Amino acid sequence: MTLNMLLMLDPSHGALLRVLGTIERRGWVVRDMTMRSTDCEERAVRIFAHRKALHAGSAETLMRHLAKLICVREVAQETQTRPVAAATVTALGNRTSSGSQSPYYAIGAV
Amino acid sequence: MTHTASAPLAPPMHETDRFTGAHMLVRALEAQGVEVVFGYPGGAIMPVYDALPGSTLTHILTRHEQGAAFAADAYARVTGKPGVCLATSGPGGTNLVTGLANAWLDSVPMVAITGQVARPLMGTDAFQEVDIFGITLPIVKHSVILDDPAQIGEVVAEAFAIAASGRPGPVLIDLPKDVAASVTVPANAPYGEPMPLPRADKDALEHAADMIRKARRPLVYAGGGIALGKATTALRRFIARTSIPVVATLKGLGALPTDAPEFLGMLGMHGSKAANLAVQNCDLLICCGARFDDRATGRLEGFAPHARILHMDGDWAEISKLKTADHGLVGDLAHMLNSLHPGALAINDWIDDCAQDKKNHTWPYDAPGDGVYAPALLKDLSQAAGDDLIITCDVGQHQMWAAQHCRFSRPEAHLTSGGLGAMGYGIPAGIGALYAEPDAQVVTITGDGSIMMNLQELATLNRYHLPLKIVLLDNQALGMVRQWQELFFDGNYSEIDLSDNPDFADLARAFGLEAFTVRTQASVPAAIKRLLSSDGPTLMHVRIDPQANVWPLVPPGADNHQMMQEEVTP
Repeated sequence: MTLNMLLMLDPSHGALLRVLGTIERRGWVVRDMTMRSTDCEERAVRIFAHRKALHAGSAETLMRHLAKLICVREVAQETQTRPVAAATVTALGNRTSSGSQSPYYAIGAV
Repeated sequence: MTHTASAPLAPPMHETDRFTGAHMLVRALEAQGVEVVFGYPGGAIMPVYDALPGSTLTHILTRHEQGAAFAADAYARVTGKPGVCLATSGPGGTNLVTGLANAWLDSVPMVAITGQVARPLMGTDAFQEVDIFGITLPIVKHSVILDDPAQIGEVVAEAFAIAASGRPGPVLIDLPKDVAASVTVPANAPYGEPMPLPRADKDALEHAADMIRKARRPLVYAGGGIALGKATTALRRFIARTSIPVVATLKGLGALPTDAPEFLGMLGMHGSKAANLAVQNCDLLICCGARFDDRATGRLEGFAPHARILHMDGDWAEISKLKTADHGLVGDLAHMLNSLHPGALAINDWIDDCAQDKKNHTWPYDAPGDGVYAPALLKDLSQAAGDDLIITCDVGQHQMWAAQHCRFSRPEAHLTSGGLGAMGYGIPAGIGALYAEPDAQVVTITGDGSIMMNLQELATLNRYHLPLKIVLLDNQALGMVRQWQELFFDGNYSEIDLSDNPDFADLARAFGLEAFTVRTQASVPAAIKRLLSSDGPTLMHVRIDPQANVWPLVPPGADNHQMMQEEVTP
């Protein structure tokens, strides 16, 4: 099985390492990758991955794990019209594609 | 990142003529409501230790950074708030690694702060420089190199919010020494507030209720997510409404009281026969905050073979990760359980069957001989200690005996290294639990292998006069490894003999603890009484049968109903 993903990353320390590490630890291998920076300092990373291990989870499970990374703003499967991770994003709540609001926390009053 | 509010700024804590990054860090921790930090000083973290005196933080000096991490982990498990640990660069950071991995695999909110060499030295292989950020990437929920003094408050607030939100986990902040030492402009410390999980929608809940209504043999499979999701009360109410039988994972123990009639026991490799039979026979498995871990499922394809799967969890990535769910609900587990009202269920025959299995497979505590029988000792100990008891465990046979035979009234009362299985967790976890609930009766159950992994923390107990009660089950071997070598490696015993152990009672006394040794079953009641009534830290050294095994046991690769039992010799 192969998977073609587009990820939008924060320009933070280790963001790319976290993504690549997650992909490999979950039983996939990166076959091809390109990256560019956007105007708003996001990094758009296109990754073509291949399922290496028989025990590896589904593509959907992998993308859910990637979407959980704090540095990942969005994950989309390129062959689909709607980002697959949108379902994840909705489930987690309060995440916007602009990344202006963290999916996991809000900063509030003391 | 955006923030809207900040903590009121008090004057610098001491030496009002300087306000360093380290002071900002301490102020930020105070703003998060941190009361206790566990740590160990060293070169690169010295500016932070310089800023600690005069703060409201209580620092607990452990004798090894791993002890600090485990103590912070346990503090977090009991309080539900992130635990905090401090270490220096290099070996200080690497000594935290096992503790971070433990918190990662058991989803424990923790903030670990490591010193780092000064920014100009980073990347030069400087003294005590390691890339702790890189080393820990796979075992943290998030991590930051704090290289801008102006962002200290913001980064700390973010770290706490991330650690505690959604599925909790550890966050690492790596703080270069020059950032900590830099004089900076005082700024108000922002306060991070965890984001609540969303609530499942009505249609999804109604579909789940319908699955439960249609089931004739439903079973709840409760995991550590119950405690993480603060859903213990909601689960108990759901069970009170439906009377559905319950099995629990190692980390789910206590979600339903051990003595509740619906509770069938722990499932899995060392689970109860009643629990494992129920899993194999159920027609609907209601997974609540569990993750189909291999220790719980045995051979995954043979796990709950006749059941539809209803999976409820706070983490979307767990749904259908290992076992395909017929229906998945993601979000606030307490809300889900409170919202599930399937109505009257036609499951009386199933309830009777489960109750009969539970009765048929009640554990016999009448072991022959005069020696101490560990399961009976642990059962009597937990009953004598009552509901205020918190048990912390090490890893090995004693850990499984504790899970099988102790009574747990709440999940926060059972602190165990479930995912990582880290020997050495027990005593530092006891320290953390005592700071989390100073009035609780905290007992550490350990073995003669595990206790040596963090023995140095006996000095911490003595230093702070912490009344931890330690039960050391000594079989003079690495018992679980010995058991597996006996059963699965043709009795080829390799490197498991610990018969040259020191005299543990003498050793504990050398650290300033009260200590005594128990050798016979007849002396156990008095020994338990002495242990629980002692004022200070106390070690009860118990000699047990070196050949004793943990039963039942599901062999690796087998289905859960294929349990091995002890062979009784006539």
